[in-house]
Parts: sequence; structure tokens; C-alpha cells
Amino acid sequence: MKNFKKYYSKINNIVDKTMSTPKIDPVSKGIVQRPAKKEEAPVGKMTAEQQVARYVEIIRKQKKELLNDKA
Amino acid sequence: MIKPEDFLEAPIPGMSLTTEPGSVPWEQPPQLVTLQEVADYYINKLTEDQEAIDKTLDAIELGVPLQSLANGTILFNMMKGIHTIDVGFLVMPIIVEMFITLAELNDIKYSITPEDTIKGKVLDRSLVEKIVNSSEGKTEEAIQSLAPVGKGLMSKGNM
Repeated sequence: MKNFKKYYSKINNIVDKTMSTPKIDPVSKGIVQRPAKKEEAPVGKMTAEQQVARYVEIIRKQKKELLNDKA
Repeated sequence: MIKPEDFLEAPIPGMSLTTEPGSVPWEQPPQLVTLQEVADYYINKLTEDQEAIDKTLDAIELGVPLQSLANGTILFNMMKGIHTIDVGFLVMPIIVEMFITLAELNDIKYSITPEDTIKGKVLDRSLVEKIVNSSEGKTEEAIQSLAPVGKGLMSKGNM
């Protein structure tokens, strides 16, 4: 369990990256530009860290929604 | 070190292998194998089981670091034969994240690692008030019970 901090920060970095940078579709520009579809590998091909990061991301999004509803 | 007179009570080498193989849950194949199954198990447990939620919130309120709490949860379920220790370790950040969500939704302060607890060792105001309120009447009673009954050196108690 000594390595938990290291592992948790690694997962945090992956989650922060995916949550903070919305990718923009390079084809559309200006007002019509929209976020590009995420190119995610199927769950079966994901590494364990990616799977965990995805779960953490979903939990954080749900938490945000719940906290916004509460406020 | 074993004292000479105690050596007969020491375990015989190989004694741990004398029980029947598979007699304890963790020697059986785990009930849940994949990371997804284990993650779903914990998420369901921490969103639907009210008893588990209440116990978790109590522990967080008492200042138990979330890492230790998650560690205990994983070991407990591993001993029940639900999953293996390695999948449990992989899933740990998910459990910690669930604990954080529960704590934030209920406005409870938390620390993730034991080091965080030591660094920010400040007693919560509400907790202090709770302790003071619960002990208010008891201190007066204790003082009265300790106070001497007689008034002088020569005074005697009621016969």
C-alpha cells in the first residue's frame, strides 16, 4: 500500500487531462466548431489504469452534478 | 526469541499446511474476477447499501484517512473471497473517489492519506462541541463524588 499515493496521482493526472481539455474538431471553425468525438479504445483494449481513470472521471462528473443540484 | 522452556509450544514447521486446502474463503477462486465486476460491486455497495454508507460516513467523521478505510474494505472483501488482492489494489482509487463523493455530499471533512491527517491535525469545531456537550453533566457529578464528606480533621462520617 506504500505505492498508493503514486498510483492515485497517476490516475488523477489521466482524469485531469481528459476532464480539462475539450478537444476541438479541426475541420469545423468559428461558431460552428464543436468538440471532437473522443477517440476512446474499447473497454476490452483499455489498460487497467485507463479503466480506473474512466470510472473516477464518471464519479467526479456525477458528484459535480449532485453538488450543483444541492446548491 | 523462544525461551528454552517454551519451545514445545512453538508451531511445528509446516503446521500452517496441515489444514485442508480450500477450507478458507481466500483459498477458493474469487467470486468476482475482472476489474469492471469489482468496481461495479463497490459502486453498488456504496450507493445502495444504507448501512454501509452510514458506517463509512461515521468513520470519515472520526477522522479515519480514506486510504486506510479503502485498504480495510479491500482486505475484508478479499478475506470473504469476493476478489483477489491485486484487483482490489487496482480498484482502490475508485473506492477512495466514492468516499470523497460521500463526504463532500454530506459536508464532512476528510483526509486521503494518513500523512495528510498528521499535517492538518486540527480538531473540528462541531466535534469539539459534541464532546463538550456530552461531558458537561458528568464532570460536575465527578467533582461532587470526589469532594470530602466531613468538614474538619476530627470530623467523622455518619455512623
